[in-house]
Amino acid sequence: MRKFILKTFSMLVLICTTLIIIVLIPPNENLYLAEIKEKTELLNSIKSPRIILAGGSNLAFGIDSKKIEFEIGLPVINMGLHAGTGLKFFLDNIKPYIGKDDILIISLEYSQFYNNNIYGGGPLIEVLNFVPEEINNLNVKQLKAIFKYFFEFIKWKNMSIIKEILNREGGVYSKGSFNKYGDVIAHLNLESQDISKESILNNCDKINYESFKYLNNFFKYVENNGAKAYVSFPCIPQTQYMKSLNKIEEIYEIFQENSFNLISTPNQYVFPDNFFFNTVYHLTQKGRNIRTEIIINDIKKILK
Amino acid sequence: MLFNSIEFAIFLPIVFLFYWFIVNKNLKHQNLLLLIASYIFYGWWDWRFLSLIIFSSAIDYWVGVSLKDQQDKTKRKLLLLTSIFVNIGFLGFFKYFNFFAENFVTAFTIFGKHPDVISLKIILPVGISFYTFQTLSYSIDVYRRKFTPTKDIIAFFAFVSFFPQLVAGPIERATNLLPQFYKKRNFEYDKAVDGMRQILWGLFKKIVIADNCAPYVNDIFSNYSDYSGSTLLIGVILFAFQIYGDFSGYSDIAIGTARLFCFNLMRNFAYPYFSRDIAEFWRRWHISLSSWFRDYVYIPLGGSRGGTWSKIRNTFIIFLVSGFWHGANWTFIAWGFINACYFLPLMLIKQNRKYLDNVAEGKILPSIKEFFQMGLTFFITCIAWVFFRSESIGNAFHYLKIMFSTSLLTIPSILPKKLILSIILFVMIEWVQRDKQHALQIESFKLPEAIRWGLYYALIIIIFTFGGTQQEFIYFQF
Repeated sequence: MRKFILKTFSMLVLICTTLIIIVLIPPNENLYLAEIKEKTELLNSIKSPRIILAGGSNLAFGIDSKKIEFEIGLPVINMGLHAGTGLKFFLDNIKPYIGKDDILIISLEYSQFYNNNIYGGGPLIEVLNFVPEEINNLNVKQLKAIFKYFFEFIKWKNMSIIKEILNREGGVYSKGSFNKYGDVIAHLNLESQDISKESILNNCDKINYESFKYLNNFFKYVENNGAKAYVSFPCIPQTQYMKSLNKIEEIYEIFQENSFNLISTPNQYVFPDNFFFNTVYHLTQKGRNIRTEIIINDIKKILK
Repeated sequence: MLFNSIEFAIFLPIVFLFYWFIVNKNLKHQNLLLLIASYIFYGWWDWRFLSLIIFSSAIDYWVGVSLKDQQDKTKRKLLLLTSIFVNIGFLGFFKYFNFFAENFVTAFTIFGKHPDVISLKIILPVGISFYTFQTLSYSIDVYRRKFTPTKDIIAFFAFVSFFPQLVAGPIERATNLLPQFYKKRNFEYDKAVDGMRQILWGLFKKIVIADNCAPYVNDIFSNYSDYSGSTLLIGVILFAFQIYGDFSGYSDIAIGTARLFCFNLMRNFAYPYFSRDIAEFWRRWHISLSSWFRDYVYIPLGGSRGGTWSKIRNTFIIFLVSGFWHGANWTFIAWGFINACYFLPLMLIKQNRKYLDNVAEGKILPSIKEFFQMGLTFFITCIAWVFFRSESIGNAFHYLKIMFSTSLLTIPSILPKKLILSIILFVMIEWVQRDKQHALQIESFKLPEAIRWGLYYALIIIIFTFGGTQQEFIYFQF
């Protein structure tokens, strides 16, 4: 028995040591999620008043910030990165930097209001690799998500190390894909892919009211800091809108019932399927231009 | 709790240490610990369904004890019927209620009637098909006086819910597993080490092979009409390896885990894809279920004794019931029917027990004949898998129609080269080890310890690096 325990324990130590080394190895700075540092730096360096766009990748792959900046006359920071990090994480990340007269446009993927998606999944633990200090701001439910996806994270980290060694580019999902505003631009001249098999509300069966509650508190925080926050909606393909109409309407109604500052309606952002690049939230150049026009008009209305 | 989860990685060592260091002096305490651990393991999914296991165990315990001194034939039969009624009743309600209700409505609709039948939102309790069969076998064996019923309630409850094999088998017999709960168990180093190896190989099969096949299979089967015949062929081959890696991987982890606690579970898979005909395949695939149906359905019906018609009838019954056991869908029944059609000719010409040994015994490579036999068996098995995996029988036929169209000769649009290469390597390893209980039984190679450790270490790192996205075990839904 002693021999067995000793040997098993030795193997366990060996494996754990390997895992710790894997976790501690500096992450590949060319990866998509590494952009979080640049985005946070933009928040830190650009002075208020500003327009801050907050949400998942629907913003990263769907906004022309330069055009908004030109039309509105305020600096724009596109904080959109990955819905999988969870709305609590990406809004918490913005909180300390909110200044007087900032305008926040929150555009959340619909899945953020379902199940426990507010607390993030695999991408949360991945993004923490680039901003480990943020772990202090996580709550128990977020830590639980990290725990759940730990093995997935190890796999992701191993693959990222292998990619770095082999010097493989990550395509549109790399840090080099972003411009100085935080918009992804690498995909703009690429051919769009088939998105017909995707779903905007995959595995989303139960509305989580905690998402609305959190958002409500966030809005109060923003107001207390002399800024203003508004809810916009992400662009989705026509076919997806029809498929999930009831759920989308339900979410919209909850927003209305809770008196959130809404600057648009979900149906304003329903685009033809061929305006989407590689997922149901990522726009092509054409889709991006149209969305930017709509959002500029929305912002102009609130500035009047 | 999933075997391939971080929760189980914490749970198992804790139970192991308690078992061998805290309660090791007392057999009853060891059994009690296993019972509590098993209920925690199961309750992790949904604690409410624990009541079903407890109720089913209590009924069969009571039936067993009552049968012991009961000599009256009618009363004995009534006791057995109680056990059958409760176990099959649970299974029927949770698994088949909606199926029967829907088909009842369909049948009446044909005659122009539209009866109002309630369709319930029933959650299928994980592993119900496995533990009900296990506990049922106990009552039947006691009724047949093949097994002396136990009075040790803890041992019996632990036997029904033994966590390594509770949710997806192997479906154990009381004659094999229950007596192991009565005997004092001493730690056996070799057994435990081999158990660890088997767990490791099971995890590899599940996480690296099955979980990597899953996304391709899901995509191809969900959108089969968009793909060419060659892609559909890739889809069904990947499914064949997904279901094998998934289910035999689970069995390996279950058997290996049981060995850590000094229990021997029955073998469930014996390299089925190296079978030379379908009869051999069925002796090597899901052995615990096949032998359950053989012993409790096929033989009582008369087995292969009697006339030709009775043989045909019995063969169809066992395969159809076996198919239906997998799920409340006509696709599973069709899958059973196809396998019966494959099997029947061999039985009628008395060739169904032709291959009882391992293929190419003592040789490195198979003969050309054996190679083609294995290829053909694998191919016809894949055809049946199309029915198993499809949403409906209509979809399965459509899938096969596209698969066997001229587009079969085109280049597949989905060709996961790295995955196919890893499957080829996996098949080669299993081929070399086909005379062993599992592919990581390497003590006969007499490798130096450093090499062995390097191998285990490499395998673990491969699992961590190249494992697919975590998926539930396919057989949990059954």
